[in-house]
Amino acid sequence: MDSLVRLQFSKVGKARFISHLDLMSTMRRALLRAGVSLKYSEGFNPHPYMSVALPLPIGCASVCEFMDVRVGGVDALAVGGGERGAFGGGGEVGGFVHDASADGGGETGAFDGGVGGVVSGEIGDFGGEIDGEVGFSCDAFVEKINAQLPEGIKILDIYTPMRKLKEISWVEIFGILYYDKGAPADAAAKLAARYSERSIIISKKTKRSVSDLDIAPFIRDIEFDDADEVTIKAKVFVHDPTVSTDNLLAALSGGFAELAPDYASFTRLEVFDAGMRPFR
Amino acid sequence: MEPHVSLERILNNVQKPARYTGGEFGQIIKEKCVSEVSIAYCFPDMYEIGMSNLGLRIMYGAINGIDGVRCERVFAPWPDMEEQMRSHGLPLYALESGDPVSSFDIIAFSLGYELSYTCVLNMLDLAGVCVRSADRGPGSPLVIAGGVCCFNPEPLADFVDLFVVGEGEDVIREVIDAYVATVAGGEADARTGEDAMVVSEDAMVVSEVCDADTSAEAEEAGTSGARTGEDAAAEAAEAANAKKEAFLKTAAGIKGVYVPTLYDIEYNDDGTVAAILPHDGAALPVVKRIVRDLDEAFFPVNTIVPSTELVHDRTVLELFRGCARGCRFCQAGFSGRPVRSRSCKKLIEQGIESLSASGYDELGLLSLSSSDYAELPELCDGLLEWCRPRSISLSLPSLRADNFSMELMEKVQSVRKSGLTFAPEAGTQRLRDAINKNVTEEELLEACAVAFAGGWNSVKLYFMLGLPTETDEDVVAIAGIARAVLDTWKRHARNKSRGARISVSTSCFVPKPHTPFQWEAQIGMDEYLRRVGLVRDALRTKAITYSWHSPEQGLIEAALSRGDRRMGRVIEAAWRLGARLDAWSEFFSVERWLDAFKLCGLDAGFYAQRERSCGEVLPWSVIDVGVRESFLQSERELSRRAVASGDCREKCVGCGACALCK
Repeated sequence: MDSLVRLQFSKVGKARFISHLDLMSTMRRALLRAGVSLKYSEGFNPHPYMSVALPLPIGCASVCEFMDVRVGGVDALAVGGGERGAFGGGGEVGGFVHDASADGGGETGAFDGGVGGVVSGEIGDFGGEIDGEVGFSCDAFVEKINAQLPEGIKILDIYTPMRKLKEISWVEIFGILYYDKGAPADAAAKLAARYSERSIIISKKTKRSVSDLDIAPFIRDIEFDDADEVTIKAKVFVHDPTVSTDNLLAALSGGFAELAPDYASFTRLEVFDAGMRPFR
Repeated sequence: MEPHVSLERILNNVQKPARYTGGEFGQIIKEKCVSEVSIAYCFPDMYEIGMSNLGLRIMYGAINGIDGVRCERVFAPWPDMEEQMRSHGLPLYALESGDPVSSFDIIAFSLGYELSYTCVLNMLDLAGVCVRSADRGPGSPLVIAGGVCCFNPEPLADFVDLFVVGEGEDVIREVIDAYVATVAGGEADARTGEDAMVVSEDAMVVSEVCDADTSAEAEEAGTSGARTGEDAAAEAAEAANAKKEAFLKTAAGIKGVYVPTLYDIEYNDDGTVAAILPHDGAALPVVKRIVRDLDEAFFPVNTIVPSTELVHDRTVLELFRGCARGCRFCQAGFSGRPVRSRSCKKLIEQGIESLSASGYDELGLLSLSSSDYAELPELCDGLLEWCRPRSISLSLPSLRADNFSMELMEKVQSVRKSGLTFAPEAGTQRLRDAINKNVTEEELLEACAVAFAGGWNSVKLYFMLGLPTETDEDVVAIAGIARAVLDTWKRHARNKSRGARISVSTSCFVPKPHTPFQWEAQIGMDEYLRRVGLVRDALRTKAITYSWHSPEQGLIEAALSRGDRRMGRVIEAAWRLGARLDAWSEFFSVERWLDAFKLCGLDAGFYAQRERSCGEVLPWSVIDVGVRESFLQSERELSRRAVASGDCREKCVGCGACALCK
């Protein structure tokens, strides 16, 4: 009776500092508190099936994270009496995922039209009928989980995945660049000039060695602004080679050191497939 | 630069930043108001240690349960974070609001381990608060402390204004009431000009991460603002000091409260204490407080669920407090008396409730000796009925070999299997009788046989070296027990293909206050290492691994735990020499501590390795844990004759602690 569900969530503020590994246990506990029963592996040390797409580096915020979880249903015992109706009135609500999958395709389609920015996370009722009784609302379910999450993590959407997480190829990021001695003059223009070069060679560390990489082909739609603070917005490739925000800033060494910020704070805005369509 | 950006930037430069952010599920955010009493609850170690501490969770919940009182958590920073905080001028802050610790009314330390004393000083310093009580002026928070180390509060007497002795749930309310009545009463007037400004500053920085300059700015504003002129400031300071003194005298009247400034200590020429002289009506001794009925006591079922890994990442239940066994080396066994249990029904309720509220997949059943809980089988059945279908496992630390039941172990480990640990503590029956451990080798081997037959292949055995009356024969016998356990495995193991994993570990015995061994000398470091050598030489087999704790931390722990008031100078000197997280062996330096002793003209050996005479005034005799000194003495006599005194549930041993319940 188990099914795979995908959670889209944001991780901002204090939650930026939760590591990938800790995020997994944090999510697991929040789901359990919300009354979701997780599907566990068999064996000596059972663990739930959970996977997160493109683990965020510690310190980086995101409004577009994805986690796939195998669930067994909603634990009727853990769902409070008053709210039980919303979850189909006791018993295992395995049907919730089942019904949702019928709607899933349509929901995914709806997102195909949207480009960039923050996805609102609004989604209608799944309308799944359980035991011929009350159907439960996805909004209510999202709310239920959100009430269990620490500051800074928020579920935006929950649905049955139609595509594999590894189809994610591009990530749109937004960053604020801080300069302790004040921003360099014409920062935006100078940065734009640097990143519009045909070839941008950086040295990239792998587990074994350091090698040169031209990141220019792996950056798209890069924009800078210096009206209030110096900001960067760009789409970077994340599918071998992965261009991290560190790699991106590594372009500002040597002759461009003047443009290198003393500190930069990044947020992941959106993820895309190879065809540059937002991934869901 | 905005303050929160500066903290963000700092956090990007340190390891495991999630321990410095707060914001976890279940943290209690209380709205600030002018008339509130705010308490910064400080744990002098890392977040992942402190958040594993049940005492902290109980006190945090209990204090925040009081109307008009706001309690926030503070932990020690790891050295990388400390370096960042000091270099960026970021003072120690509380996790819930991010407010500087110095802006709280009361700073409360939880003291569970003597080697955290330098960390207490370091945290005060990081908070910008003077470490010595005498140097703290008006406007400075009150510094209080509780926890098991307060059964000998003397080493910290120079730094702490007030100690809470015993279980804190009830006393803290009374201390806060007294604070409200004497210090906070009439609010604005009662506090100094600076403080009033700090309060209004607070209101503006709610939910913002702390600003290094808040208190400094506030102080400037306070002196150049409303109350001008040095006279007014001096007057306000005097008034504040008078209020603090009045509070401390009032609080000293609360049972279980020790205010060190109300006692003078006189010393003999040989360095021993001559007399403890209370004044201003202070009690001698101060009798520890207990909670009489655990079913009625507050228990934090809705507690914080950290977003980062802890050392003990699980939900816990507290089966009982105290211990009926009376192992003569064990401070908790005597200072925690009398035994008070929670009912099985209550525990099952609390277990289900707190697991549902936390989402943890492990439930720890805590107490000093969990297999002594009378209704343990019923409790496990009741909990497992709920836990098993949810893949939640039970863990039972503190099992004894003499009442170990395989049926129970199988039940408990039906979800996830963990290792088995027993603590025979000593190698021969004679020495186990001398320490009143009441476990026989037969019982231990029987328990191991059952476990090996049940599929276990790994057992850990804990021993102490340097117990009073220990001979080389006792030491070598440790290896004998380990080999007997290995033989038992060979005879009973169900599956021998993977081999046995038997590990033996020894630590250096630390004599503790309020135990029958409080008068005993600790063995020297060289002697400890010689005995380690004896065990090692006798344990030459691959199937048994032997590890031993270094004696260096044990020496300083022994000196601190039986220290007198002069030890404060040594702690301060060690801290000034760079001691911080002494509980972490990587940061501990025995040379630094010995230098500190030398600087203060004191000798660690005097405190750690000297046998006290029976008539000596013990520095901790200012505290009464409920167990009569004459009882401790008779237990010590029995120990010398290697006579065990048994379990007090079977026959009252007459320690006197039950009088605390009356």
